[in-house]
Amino acid sequence: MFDPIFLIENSITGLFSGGIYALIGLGVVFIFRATKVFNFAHGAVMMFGAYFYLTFSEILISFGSPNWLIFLISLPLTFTASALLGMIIEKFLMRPMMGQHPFPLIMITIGLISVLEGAAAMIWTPAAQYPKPLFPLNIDFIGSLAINRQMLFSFILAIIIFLIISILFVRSRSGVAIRATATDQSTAALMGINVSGVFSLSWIIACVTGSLAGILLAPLNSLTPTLGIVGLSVISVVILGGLDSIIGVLIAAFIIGWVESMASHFFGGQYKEIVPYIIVLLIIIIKPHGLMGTRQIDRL
Amino acid sequence: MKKKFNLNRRSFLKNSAALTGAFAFGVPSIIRAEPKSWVMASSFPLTGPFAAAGSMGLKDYLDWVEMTNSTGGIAGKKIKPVYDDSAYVPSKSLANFKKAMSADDKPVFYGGDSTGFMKLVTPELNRTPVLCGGTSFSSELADPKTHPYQFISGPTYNSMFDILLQHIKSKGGKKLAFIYSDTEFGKDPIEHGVSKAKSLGIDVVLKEITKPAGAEIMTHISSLRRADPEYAILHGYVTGVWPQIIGGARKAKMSTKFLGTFWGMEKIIADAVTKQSGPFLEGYAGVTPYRYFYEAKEAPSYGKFFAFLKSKYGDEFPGYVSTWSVQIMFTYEIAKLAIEKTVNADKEVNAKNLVESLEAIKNWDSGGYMGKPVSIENHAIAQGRVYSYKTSNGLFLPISDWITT
Amino acid sequence: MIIGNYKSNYNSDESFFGDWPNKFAFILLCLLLVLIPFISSGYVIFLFTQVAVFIIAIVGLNILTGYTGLVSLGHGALVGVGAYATAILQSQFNLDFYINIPLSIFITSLVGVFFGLPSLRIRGLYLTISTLAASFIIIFILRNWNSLTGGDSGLILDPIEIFGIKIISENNKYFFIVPLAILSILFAQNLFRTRIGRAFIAIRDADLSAEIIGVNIVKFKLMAFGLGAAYAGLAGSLWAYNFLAILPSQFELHLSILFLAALVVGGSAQTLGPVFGAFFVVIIPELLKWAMGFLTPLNPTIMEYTAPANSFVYGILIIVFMIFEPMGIASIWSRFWNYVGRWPFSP
Repeated sequence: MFDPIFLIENSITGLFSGGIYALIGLGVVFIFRATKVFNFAHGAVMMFGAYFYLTFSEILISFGSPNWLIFLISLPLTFTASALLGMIIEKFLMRPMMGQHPFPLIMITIGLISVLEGAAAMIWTPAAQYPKPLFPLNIDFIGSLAINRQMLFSFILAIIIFLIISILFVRSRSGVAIRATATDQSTAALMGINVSGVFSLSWIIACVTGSLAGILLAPLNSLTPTLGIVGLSVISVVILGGLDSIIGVLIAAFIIGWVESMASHFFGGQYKEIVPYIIVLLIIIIKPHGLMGTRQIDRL
Repeated sequence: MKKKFNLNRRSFLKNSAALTGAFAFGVPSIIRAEPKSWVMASSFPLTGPFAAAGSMGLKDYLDWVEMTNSTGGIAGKKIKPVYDDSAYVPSKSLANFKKAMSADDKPVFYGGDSTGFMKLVTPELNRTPVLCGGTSFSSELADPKTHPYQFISGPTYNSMFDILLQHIKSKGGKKLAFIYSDTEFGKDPIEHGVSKAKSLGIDVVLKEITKPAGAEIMTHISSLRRADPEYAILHGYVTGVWPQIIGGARKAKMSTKFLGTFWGMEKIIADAVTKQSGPFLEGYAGVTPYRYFYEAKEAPSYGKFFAFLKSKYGDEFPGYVSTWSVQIMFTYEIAKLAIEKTVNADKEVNAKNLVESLEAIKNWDSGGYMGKPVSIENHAIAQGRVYSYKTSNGLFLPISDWITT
Repeated sequence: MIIGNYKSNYNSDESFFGDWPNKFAFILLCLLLVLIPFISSGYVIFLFTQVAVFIIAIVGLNILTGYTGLVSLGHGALVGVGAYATAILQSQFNLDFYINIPLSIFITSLVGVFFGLPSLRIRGLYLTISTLAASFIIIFILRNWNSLTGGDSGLILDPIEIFGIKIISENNKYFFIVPLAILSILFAQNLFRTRIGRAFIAIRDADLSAEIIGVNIVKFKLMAFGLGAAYAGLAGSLWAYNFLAILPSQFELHLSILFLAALVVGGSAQTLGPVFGAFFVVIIPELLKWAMGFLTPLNPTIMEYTAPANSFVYGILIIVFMIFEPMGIASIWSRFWNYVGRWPFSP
């Protein structure tokens, strides 16, 4: 039975999740552009950010603070904590290995997944938790079309942050520094750019945007130490986008979000999880540089 | 306490010495004495997705053991509980099982914590038989031919669905949806449920698979809205997803009545959800084989445990024990009964005789755990009752009689 | 005291065991392995058998990742393919183990080569990601092809029977699987004395130069994938015969990460690396459980911390070894024996 409204509804849901994927993918691209490290642990960092938020907001709730105060205090605290986490990872794990073969760096980020998941389960227990949502669940109707207001607002916020960061990346001084470092590390250093500062900054941006994505995702998906798995499937967004293209990530995020939701629409819920990986495999075979990536990938 | 400490150290020395290989010579084999206690071993999911249920269950189980031991144990011998964490990973449970079975004190009973483990352990049980029960109600296990040493301490998921379908039929429901998690647990009774519904003349308009945890609700609400069933059965969840789906459906102004199965009917979860997001669980109903703990008036067994916990913890005891813990305790009650029957019949306590005693349980008064007398058929107990949740007092209250299938 | 290199011709330089202490140690180790089942409990034998299965899998990963430099996040899933191939061949075609195991190895290596195909066009990071995707896709197929794989309930299989003896007790399984693990190590050791093995190393160290000196990169990369997967297939097949029941959840991504952790900690591109690694990843959870055992009298649910602590420790070990000791325990081990061998002239 073909039902156009149902199809539209699911398409909208898919595009909305695409917005959050874009925010997650942004962090991966930032780190990759600046430092040439592909961060497999980005999902885990995101999960940690969501737990920071859970902790701060629970503390405030226990004091009986009003909603606006909870958000006003706990969000900046969460971003600061995430930024610190990013700085620590960059300084102690990444920097000693800079300039080496990619294998150790890949392995370190994979090791980091286990470390962060284990740590989160020890600190916050592995049980599912529901942090206070930024936007409460509410479903609006346009005719017979149902729209989840929670997802809509999360989507809008994610896209706004994404655009702000992208514009800063193009316009601001630090953005130029990051791009210069991405193009040529040694020349950038010779030109007086603080390259290690750039590395640090890119990790901070990635962790902060990641934590925001985690905060938006946690009420939708429930918060467990394995929330990072969502981050793994965002690899497909990054690959489809072209690994180093910010605008590519935005487009790819919408495509993946929509295709996922269509797979679930036509074949059933379980197919949603496998779609990103099939797409990854296809892109790698057909068009390894993705939609907008630089064509300078090692090939033989 | 001191005794357990020693045991751990001793077994460690033995294991680690052999593991490191080179130092393994001359470890004396420990002389086996007549067992002074009943070793009851089990795996608990203390970590992983069902950690909340697992650690709560373990605490209450240990208290149950303490209470049972203080009143003479089983047939004059005390219970020695041995347990390990499984993280809800079946192969970890299996490793725990092998460890328990190769210990010097062999367990008389093993408590498994997942359907996966119950499957994995089946070939192993043929080699080292031991009476085995647990948290799984998988329909496949209720077959003495293929799973001779395993039993289910309640109705199978198929029976639970039968009870729910009969309930729907009696209320005149015609359009039904199944919403279940993408796990072994979730998929277990679906096929049976569809054919049973057909035979009762109920139309299954939707079969919706979700993630077992952290499912994205909106997609599922969309499907549910399209199908627009009068009733929806939620199955394959413990702590999450089911409340979110009900909440989403209410926000979407749907009037579908939601029904659940045993693991998704915990008061603690329902209360927490109500407290956080409002009273939308009102009228959520489901089938459970055990009385809730607050029905102690009709259940002398609960009353005894209540008194024990009150004297042990005083005011710290909140007065409620979760259904998850009740399920675990009841499993051990059955094992206890089987041991007692075997000892009283003057037979050797081994897996074969225990299974015989288990199968001979007929019309046993369970002390209120279950409403009707308990008879074990096909290694399962096919009875249950439909309860419905009231948000005003936070209680699941019965809305049907005890139903046997 | 060994203060010099006494090798006087190429044959002895290329010899299998190197010098006599190695040969002696190998024989001693074999004797010890024969003795172990007689002096330890069933659980310890079970752990040893598990280590042996892991060793086979990790030797395969070592060929692929350690020697050829292709990082795979799909090795655990390939072990799953081997295990399922064995279980399916037995349940559908009732094949005996001596046909079943080689066929499973063959099927797994075909699957391995298939997922290695992207490596013909790309390398490095993209390859890792394609193996990650492969891992998810394989598990998805295992979980959803119900008629063949039994879905989430998995499959149960019958034990091996050799000359009327059922390989079902821990001892029998040990004596069936451990020798195969030793043979696998020896085969891999020998491989790197041949043209093929050296081609792998050449590809890892400098692929362009390798191509220029006449190594057919496409062929050898695929061969590395095939061989690595063949080892995974053998490991999977033995895994199935060891557990006699398999579930798809056993082979998910965490198993692939576990293998990588074992390889890194044990020492990649070294013969003994997989051995140390496999022991390590099996012993750590036991040690943690034991440590938690001391604390349980204080708090009965302290075990809640075991599994997270486990994953935490694995991760920390990967990171620490990558930063401070990238060649792993095997390298510490060989440094130690060099020190002993050269004593008292060692630095």
